[in-house]
Amino acid sequence: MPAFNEAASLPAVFADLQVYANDFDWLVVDDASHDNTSEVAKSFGATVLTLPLNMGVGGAVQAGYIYAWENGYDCAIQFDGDGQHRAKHFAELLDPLQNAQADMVIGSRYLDGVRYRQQVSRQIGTRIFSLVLKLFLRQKITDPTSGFRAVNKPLLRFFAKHYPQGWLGDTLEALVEAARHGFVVREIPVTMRQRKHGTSAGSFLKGAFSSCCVLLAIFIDLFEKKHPNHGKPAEDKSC
Amino acid sequence: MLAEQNPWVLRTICTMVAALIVIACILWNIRQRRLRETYAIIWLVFGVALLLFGVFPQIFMYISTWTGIYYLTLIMGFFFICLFVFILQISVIISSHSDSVCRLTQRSAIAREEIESLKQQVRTLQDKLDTGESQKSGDDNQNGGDA
Repeated sequence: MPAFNEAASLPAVFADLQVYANDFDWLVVDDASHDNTSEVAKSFGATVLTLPLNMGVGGAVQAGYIYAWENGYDCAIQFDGDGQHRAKHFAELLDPLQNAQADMVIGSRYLDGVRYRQQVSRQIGTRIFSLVLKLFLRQKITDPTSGFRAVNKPLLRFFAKHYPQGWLGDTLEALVEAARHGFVVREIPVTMRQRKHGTSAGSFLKGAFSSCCVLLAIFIDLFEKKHPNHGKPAEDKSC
Repeated sequence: MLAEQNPWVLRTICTMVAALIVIACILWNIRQRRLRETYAIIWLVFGVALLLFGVFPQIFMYISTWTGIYYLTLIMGFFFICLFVFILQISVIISSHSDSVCRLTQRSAIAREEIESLKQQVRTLQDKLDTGESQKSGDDNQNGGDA
C-alpha cells in the first residue's frame, strides 16, 4: 500500500483490512510523508517501509514489490492508502491468479454495469488509454488507471526489477510493460469509494494535459526495447 | 570611435566578454565542487572555443574555406548541434541517475525495515534471556535457601 500523507485516512483503511484481510501480511510504503503515516501504520501492525525521499507512487509501489519478491511471497495486492479501494474484493481479485487464469488481475470500476463518477477529462483519457491498449496490446482493459490490482509470483519478480516511474507509471505504464512481456491481464468488476474531484476548467485542462503526457509515455513504452530474459517464464504461474 | 571605425572590434569585445563570463561561471562551479571533472572538461573546452572564436574571428573564415561552407549561420548551426548532442547526453545521464537514486532509496527503506525487525527480534530474545536468567537465579536462591 503506497501512502503519502495518509495518516488521517489509514485508520479507516486498516479497519476495512481487519475485517476482510486479517490473514494477509500488510505492507505500507511511506513515500517520505510529512505526517505520521509510518507511526499510524505501525500501530495497526503493518510492516512499514519508509522511503527517505519522495519517489512518487511508482517508486513506492516498486519498493513494495521488491520487498514481496525478496521475502518469498507468492502474490501481492496493490491497494491505495486513501480509502478508495475496498478490501472485500481481495478474494475475487486473487481467484484468477490461484486458478492460473491470469498473471495480473485489475479491479475495474467500469465493468459489468459498475458505475463510478469521474471527471470528464479523466473519463475521456481512460477511454483513449483503453483503445490504445486494445489496438497495440490486444487486451481489453476497461480501467487501465485502476491502482487496485493483484499480481502473481512471476510478475512480482518482473515488477521488482522493472517498474515504470512516470506520471501514471504505477498503473497504466506498468500494465503496458506487463502485457508487452507476455503476462496475461484480466479484470474483475469492483466497487470503489468515490473520490472528490474538482470540476473547474483549470482541473479539466490539467487532466487533459496529463492525459496527453501519459499517452505519449505509453507510445514511448511501446517503442522501448523489451527487457531481455525478463518476460513471462514458462513455469507454473499459479499463485 | 574605434567601434564605428571597425564594427568587428565591438563584436570581438562582446564575444570575448561573453566567453569570459562563461569560463568564469564554469570555474566558479568547479571551485565550489558542483561540477564533476568529466563535465568540467567538456564545458571548459566549450568556453575556450568560444573565447578563441571571439578573439580570432578569422577562425570562422578558415573553417569556411576548409569545409566549403560559406554561410556563418551554418557554422553556428553546427555549433548548436554540438550543444544539442551534449544536452541530450546529459539528459541520458540524468535518467540513469534518477533510476539509481530510486533504487538506492528503495534499498535503504528495505534495509531500514530489516534492521528495525532484527532489533525487535534481538530485544525479544534479550527479554526472554533476562527473564530466564532471573527465574534461574530465583530458583537457585530458593534451592540454596532450602539447602
